Amino acid sequence: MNMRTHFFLIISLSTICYGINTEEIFLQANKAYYNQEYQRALDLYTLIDNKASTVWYDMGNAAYKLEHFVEAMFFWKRAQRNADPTLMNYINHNLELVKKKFNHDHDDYPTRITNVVLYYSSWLSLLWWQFLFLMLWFIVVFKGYDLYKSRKYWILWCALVVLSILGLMMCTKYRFNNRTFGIVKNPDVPVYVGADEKLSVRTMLHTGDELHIIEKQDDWLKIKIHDVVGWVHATMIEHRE
Amino acid sequence: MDKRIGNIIFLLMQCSIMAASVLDIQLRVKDAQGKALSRAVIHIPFVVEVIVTADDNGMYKPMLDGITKFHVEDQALVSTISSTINGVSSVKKIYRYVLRPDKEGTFTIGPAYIDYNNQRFSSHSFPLTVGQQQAEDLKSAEAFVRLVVDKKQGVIGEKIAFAIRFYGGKSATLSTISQPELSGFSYEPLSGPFSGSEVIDGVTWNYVEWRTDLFPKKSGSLVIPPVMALYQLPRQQRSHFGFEMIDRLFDAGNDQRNSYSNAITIVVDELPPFAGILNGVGTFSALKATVDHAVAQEGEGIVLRLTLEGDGDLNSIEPLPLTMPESLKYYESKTSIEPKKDGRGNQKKIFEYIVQGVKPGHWIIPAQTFTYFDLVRHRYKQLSTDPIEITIEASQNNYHATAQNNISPSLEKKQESQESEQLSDDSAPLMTRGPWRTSDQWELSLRWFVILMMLPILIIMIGYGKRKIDYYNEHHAADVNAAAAFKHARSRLLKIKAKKSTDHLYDVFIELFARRYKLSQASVSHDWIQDLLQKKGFSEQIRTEWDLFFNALAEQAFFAQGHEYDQEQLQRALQWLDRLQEKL
Repeated sequence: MNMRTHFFLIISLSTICYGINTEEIFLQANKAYYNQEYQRALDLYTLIDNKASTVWYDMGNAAYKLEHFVEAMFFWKRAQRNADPTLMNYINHNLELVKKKFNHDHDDYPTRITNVVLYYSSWLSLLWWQFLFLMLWFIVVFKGYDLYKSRKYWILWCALVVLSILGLMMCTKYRFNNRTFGIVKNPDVPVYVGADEKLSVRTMLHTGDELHIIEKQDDWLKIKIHDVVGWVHATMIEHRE
Repeated sequence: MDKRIGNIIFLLMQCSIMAASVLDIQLRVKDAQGKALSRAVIHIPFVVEVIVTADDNGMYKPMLDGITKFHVEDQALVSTISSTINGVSSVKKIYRYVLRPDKEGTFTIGPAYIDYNNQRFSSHSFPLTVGQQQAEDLKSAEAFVRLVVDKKQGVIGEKIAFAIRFYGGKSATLSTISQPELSGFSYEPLSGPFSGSEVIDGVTWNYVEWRTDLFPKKSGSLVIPPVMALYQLPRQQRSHFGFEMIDRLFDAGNDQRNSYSNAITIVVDELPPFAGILNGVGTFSALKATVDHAVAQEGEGIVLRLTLEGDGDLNSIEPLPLTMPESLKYYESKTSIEPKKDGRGNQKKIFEYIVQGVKPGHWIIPAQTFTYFDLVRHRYKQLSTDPIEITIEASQNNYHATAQNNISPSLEKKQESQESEQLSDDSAPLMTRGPWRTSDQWELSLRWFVILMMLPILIIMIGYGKRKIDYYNEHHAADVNAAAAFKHARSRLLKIKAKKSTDHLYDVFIELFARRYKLSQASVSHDWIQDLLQKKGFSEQIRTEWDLFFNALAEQAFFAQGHEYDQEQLQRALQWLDRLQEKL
């Protein structure tokens, strides 16, 4: 065997070993979960690198059992990224449970619509949504004028409606895949205008509020929630680097 | 004789001195303008002047009979004038009374009198008739002020539109107007001025007015007394002594006048008997109740908002007492009035309350009612809100405190276990299959995605551009070829000039024709060129010259020995190039 063959063998074997090791941790964590050793299960899940949505979801379940509701909410929200429709159903169900713990019984209409779109966008990966969108976009651009000239308006309208739906799915998926978010841990968290507690408070956050993290500066997070941008102390927010 | 006359004069002087020591009292009755008055208008004040003349400056205050039948608005000593004539001093004092007649009829004013040294000095009395304002009173006026209401009878709380109108001609300028006395009414501050015009007895008057709505607070005859307007009119008569300029410097040239308005009496009736709590009077259309959130923790404040919509004295309506279950308590927060939108629709009064839950559970805020006297139907009516369901949850802090304080550790553990079981039933199952490591998710970056999106547009634009260029070339091919061919030929001639070798002049022209008409050089012959020149309209003479020139070039090209340079030939070639370019 020459050098190249050796190299490929080493790479392949190490990948397989790593996979087995990760799978083993995952299975051990599942076993701990079923034995109601939730903290151990959570610790084991945490050891897995490059966690898939399934792992994030299971971490959420373990945290929920430990009554770490904010953590559970964070893990489930994180699991929404690239989740398949079945997993998305489970996540939505569990999120409803945890929202009740925070008295967030009623989502506002934009949130409900976003959840529905997010669920349907989980049917395909982002690449597929992008591909379908671009295909239809090409057709509309190249053939749209001909359809218009030949007065086939309904086909044109249908194409535009489908294109809009595809665009919506793609944007939602893109947004969820690339967002950095956090969950408020404490009951009343002040949002300051700057990274200093001496500055004035813009609004108050409550346990379970989801926010978008714009940047981190020492122990402070610059966040955006409901069009309000401000700074909160990082210890008050459940988030991951 | 002279002595007798002197004695008589002395006696007369003594008599006049004796007369001066006697008090003289005169009575004058005037209107607000200072004109003598024979007839007064009810509720409009008039002036009575008592003029006392005495020989010293004693305190002789006169008494005036008959003024008790009038409302005395003002009384004062307004003037004291001392004078000395022929060594005899006298003092003249003017006492002024401003009286307002509040009843119609004929009255006697006076006499005015002074009791002095057991002697009564008195004036004459003055008969005065008091009646309603008549049209003639206005016809002679340059300006006047009126109080206007939309109704003169109503019930307590009924809205009455009220306005103060100042009618004036072009020359009258309003200076100020007194505030009306609106005792017995609830009202907002006057708004205005608004302008308008009105025809009164065939005369069109322009007016400015100030408006408000009055709401009677008590029953009976409520009188709104007259208001006084001060206005200015240009002075008719100026100085006769030629000092107009000086007059104008110190005087605006206006006379200040005043005018009293009419008074208004509004008869206010009691509301029909009603056993219960009355909240308002008017015409109301809706009472709505809303809460800012329906789920709250124990002790957390819920804002309950009652919105009353309608037409009535909203300022006077007190916050409604709420009907509330024992498990909820409330506090009045604030009230506000939302004005009509664009002057249309109804006003709204909003009452805010803070409701707090005392016990956890689902509770209903019952229907709240508003009882009012409907002015359209003239009966009592009631508006109600819809009941609102709210949920009060146990405070998390309280819950944990209770659990920690009251439950034994074993029981606590059991309870936790039960809770855990319950949670287990609620939450979705664990995912044991599927990828546990995330695989690389391929996706187009935003930049590439935008580039790909723009690609078809770019292709279409390129195609469109190409079509345009082709179209241009198709329609302007001849011109393009001609320009290019001649340009090429000219550049070759310049090179020949630079190299100083005219051997290839023949080739230049052959190539010129071949390029111009897209032919091979072999196709360009002497005869072909002749035919072309003829077709293009070159004259016989020019064609002959061309033959000579072209033959010379051919000879030089094919029969020349070595490199030759004929500058004249080159000049001719350049000239022929110009000639040909004109027509080809």
